[in-house]
Amino acid sequence: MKSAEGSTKDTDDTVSLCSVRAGSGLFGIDTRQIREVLGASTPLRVPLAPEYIAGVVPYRGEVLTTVSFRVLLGLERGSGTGCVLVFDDEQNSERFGLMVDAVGGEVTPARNALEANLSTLDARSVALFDGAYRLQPELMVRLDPQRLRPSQLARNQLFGAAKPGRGESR
Amino acid sequence: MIEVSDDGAGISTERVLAKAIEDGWMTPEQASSKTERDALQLIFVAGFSTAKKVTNVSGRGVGMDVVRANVEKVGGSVEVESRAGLGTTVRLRVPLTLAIIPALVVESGGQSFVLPQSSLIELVYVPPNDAPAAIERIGTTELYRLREELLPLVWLGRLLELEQRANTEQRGFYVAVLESEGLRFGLVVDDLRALEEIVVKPLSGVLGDIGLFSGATLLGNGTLAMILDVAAAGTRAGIRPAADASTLANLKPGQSYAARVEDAGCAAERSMVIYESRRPGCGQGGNQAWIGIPLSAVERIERVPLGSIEYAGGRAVLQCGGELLPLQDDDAVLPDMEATAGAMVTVLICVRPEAHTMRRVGMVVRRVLGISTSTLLAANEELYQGHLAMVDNRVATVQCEFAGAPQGAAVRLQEVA
Repeated sequence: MKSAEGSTKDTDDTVSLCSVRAGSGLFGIDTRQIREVLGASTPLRVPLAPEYIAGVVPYRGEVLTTVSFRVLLGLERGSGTGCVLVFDDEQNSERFGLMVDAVGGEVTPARNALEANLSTLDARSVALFDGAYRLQPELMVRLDPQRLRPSQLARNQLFGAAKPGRGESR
Repeated sequence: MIEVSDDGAGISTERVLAKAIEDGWMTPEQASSKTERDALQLIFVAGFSTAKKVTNVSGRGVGMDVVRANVEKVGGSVEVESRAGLGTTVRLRVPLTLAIIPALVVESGGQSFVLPQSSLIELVYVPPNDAPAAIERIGTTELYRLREELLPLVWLGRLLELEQRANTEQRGFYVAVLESEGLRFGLVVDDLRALEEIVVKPLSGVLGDIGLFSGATLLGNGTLAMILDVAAAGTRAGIRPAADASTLANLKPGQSYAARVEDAGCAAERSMVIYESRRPGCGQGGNQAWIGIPLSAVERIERVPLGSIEYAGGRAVLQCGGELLPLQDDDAVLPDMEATAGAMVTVLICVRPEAHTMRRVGMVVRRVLGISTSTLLAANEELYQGHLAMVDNRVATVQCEFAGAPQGAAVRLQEVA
């Protein structure tokens, strides 16, 4: 368990993103929105929970509901172990976790490197992604944690009945 | 624990019972079998009141019901002790920390689940050898016969759509007998883990919406486990409160029903003493009618010489252990026997519940065939005005006069003894 870096190199020109990997994709999340990063953890599966729920993990004496990003992407659930990013939602006081395959480091792409979602993206990806940064050697898709809240996902018909292995690409 | 006592008039159990009978909560027979403790429990029944005057708020029989409902909601209990003329003591037991509850950790489908002990009545282990025979089916409902009670079974693994362990039948399983909010059922789990005092942690909205878990907890070994909401699990599995038995007819097709099957107080399957009758209209030759008396109503079977039967006031009586036992000879066995010298008469000593007392009656029977487990058939008014049962693939009529309420009769038997 390691705390997110307090000092970020956010400047007027660049943004501080935490890079994460899920499947073959590279994603970035604003470091200021991440409360904590938990090391490798295996959430407890909750029977009859929506497919996109990876399970629950113990977090500071609480039970943290964790979303499986792999399932959201339409990938196989995988080994059931991964890194969990903890997010807080100030407005709804909803705290949740996001399980990804691996957490990389901080990257600071230029603000103007952000491209909006392409019009050809499918509905699921539009619901999840918040544009992409033109990085070398690959694109980094920006994620908005607010869109990944379990209660938000539950309202979305696309994920309510999501099953793994639907084969939808990013 | 909070204890409140007074030195007032106390609660008169007679008045409580009399009111209960008057209001139709129970029959006089049931009332006579109630212990003082049982009678005091009546004051917690919703709508029960002995008050003669009813105002806007008082005398409506709500107060104690609300007290019990709320105390039990937080995992506590209410107890009343009362002596007429001396006073009443009320004890409220409220858990020290509401969030810490004693619980049983069970395993199903390779995952741990927590059952609150407040709803756990008992645990039954079904060994592998007994497993195939232990589960009986009525329609699609699976039952376990727990002593004299039919217990609907709920498989935790199936309910939660967990991956089934293939060899349940080979390893045996555990039945946790649970009771919550009037639902009583057996929860089948693969294994038992441990008893633990657990701290209940709330679940987030999405997981709370599943409706089967009341929370999660961190176990002693550091892993998480979901806490099963017993009442919700029972409801999800189609279990209904026993009091809802009358709604059986209103069930939609395909809906399963699995409350205790009781018909006129007779459990669907019960042991009976079977005897043969040659009453007119009861068949001849090898085809005599079979009659069954619930075993619980029969105290013992005696064979007495015909000579020891005496007649008083036109009735046959038998002196038996210093008691004068009236004999009932439905089958006219005695006149038939007169011709035979030194004949022995078989008498079933039965217990008949009568208002507030028990009376023993001797049933003179021709021949006792044995004790057999029989299945009570659904009443068919056209065929027979009374109860019929299936015994070894033969139909037998059931003598119900001795056991209007067999369970009550069993209790009374103990009291007599």
